[in-house]
Amino acid sequence: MNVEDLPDPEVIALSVLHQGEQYKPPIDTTRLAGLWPGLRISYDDLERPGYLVDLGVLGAEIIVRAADSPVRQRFTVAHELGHWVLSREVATEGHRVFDCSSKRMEQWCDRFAASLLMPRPWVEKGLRRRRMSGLIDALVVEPSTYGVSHDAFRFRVAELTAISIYELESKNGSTDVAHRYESRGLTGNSRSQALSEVWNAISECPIGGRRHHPTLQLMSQYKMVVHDRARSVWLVCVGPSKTSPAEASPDLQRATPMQPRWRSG
Amino acid sequence: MSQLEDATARLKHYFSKVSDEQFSRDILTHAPDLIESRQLQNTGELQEVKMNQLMLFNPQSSPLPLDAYLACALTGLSHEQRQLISLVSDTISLVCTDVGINLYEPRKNTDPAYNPDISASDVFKLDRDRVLSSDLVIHLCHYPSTGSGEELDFAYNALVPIILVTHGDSRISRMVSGIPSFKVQLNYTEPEELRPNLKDTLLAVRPILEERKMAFASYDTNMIGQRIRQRREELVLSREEIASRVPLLTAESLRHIEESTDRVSNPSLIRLRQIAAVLRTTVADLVEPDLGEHSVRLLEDWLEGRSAARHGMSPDDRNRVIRRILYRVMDSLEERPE
Repeated sequence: MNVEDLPDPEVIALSVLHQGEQYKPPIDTTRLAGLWPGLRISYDDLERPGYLVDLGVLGAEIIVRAADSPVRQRFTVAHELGHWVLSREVATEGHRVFDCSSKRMEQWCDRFAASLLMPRPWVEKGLRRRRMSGLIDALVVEPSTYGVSHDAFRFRVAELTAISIYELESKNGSTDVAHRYESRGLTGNSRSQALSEVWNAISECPIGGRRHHPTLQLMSQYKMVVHDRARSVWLVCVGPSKTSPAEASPDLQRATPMQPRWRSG
Repeated sequence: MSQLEDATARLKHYFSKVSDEQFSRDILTHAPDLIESRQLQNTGELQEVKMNQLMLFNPQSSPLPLDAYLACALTGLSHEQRQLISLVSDTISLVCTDVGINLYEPRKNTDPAYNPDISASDVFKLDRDRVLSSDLVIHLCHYPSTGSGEELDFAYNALVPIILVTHGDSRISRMVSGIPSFKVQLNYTEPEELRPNLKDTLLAVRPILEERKMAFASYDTNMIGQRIRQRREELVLSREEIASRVPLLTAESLRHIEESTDRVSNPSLIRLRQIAAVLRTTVADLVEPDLGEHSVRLLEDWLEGRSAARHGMSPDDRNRVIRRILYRVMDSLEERPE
């Protein structure tokens, strides 16, 4: 049984948000947990990020690692809420969730958590509003708006759009990919080719070069590289090429309205 | 030619030239362990078995090993009486071996005639421990014996089943026949009756003995003794100080209780009450599993099947989760209607 056999986490998350009267970020996870009488959140000195303990008639307890950052704790609560909601969903809708491997269950709960904290319509709407040129601002600002980590938001953008994001780190004269958030909207070859072009361009554009724009450099119409001086990293966003619409996936088509408005590098 | 083909060819060549009798003799000479002759000789059935019958495996299943204690008179016997006891004991030993029961015979270890150097206290301790750790006591009622009467009392208190072996019209004390234990009386007239009758009896009671052994396995731990020692050390009291305050308790017997398994120490209820009073605790605290340990064990078992434990949980996390569950249980008690 695949995760796909389970209910759509995006749909379930939107339903929970609606029930919890959450209409703007950041999501109030405590309020959402309060939708179920007996479901409590507590914080303790744990080794793992968190647990959901189903106490039967007493309800349930989501135990969260106290030492984690607030954004990590919010994700943990959302993830464990996923387990809780899924167990309720099984009871009412009869999904054969117990046939799933625990790994797939965890994947479902991760997707649920992302959907709950960064609802798809909201993220897409925000990206459209900012347009492609505002993508960098979105990547910088939106994580705090949603109360999530930069990592989580980048994964969400890569999941919802055809934009892959790479964080390149320059150290001792060499540049390596420190983190990658790859969208399925482009084939691996296209991503590699685009990243290679960016890489070549970066090598010709030393940090603190003649262009003094602090954040943005445009490589081509569909590739964008950002130099985050504060963190000494390059943030590379690789989007779909106009000349290869066939590569566009449904996710990519959703991203189409976000037309870039930058100059060719 | 492969090794297998070569070996097969050699075997064919060998068996084409050797008779069955020669083969058996060769085996006995070069590999005597392959013939289970010892057991057959013991049971006197050697003649019934063809010498050339190889027993490459034991056709019987391996039953649960059981221990039996042979209680009988040993002190003050005449030569003839001792010979009779030896004869009967040997027969019983053979039958026990035949049905997979290890028989402990005090006459071979603490017989006053052959082991006069062993102290009385050591004989008491050794034989008592043997009785308490046995699964069955077989008592030869041929001659009166205070020692075996004591051993029957140990067996009675430890719920060890008893087989009373009587001969002909011999009379047995009502203090023996009246023991309210699980016991079977086996009477024989001719010596040759004893072996088949005893074998049948042992086979009949074996399921009961096995069931008891499994059920009593938990008493092979030292819980009571450890509790007593722990409490005594909390109060900074020596064994001598405890013994001086408990009537008829010696420091040595207290040490025996503290250091033996529950099955072996098996202190009486009155003794436990006395010790508990001096230790300012209760018998229940000494003999019952600790409530905390019991509760945590229950919660651990419960948690094992819950989704929270789906990916394995470190011992520290498990303890913290259990603590959270206990908080919730306490909260639920407060919210409970009167």
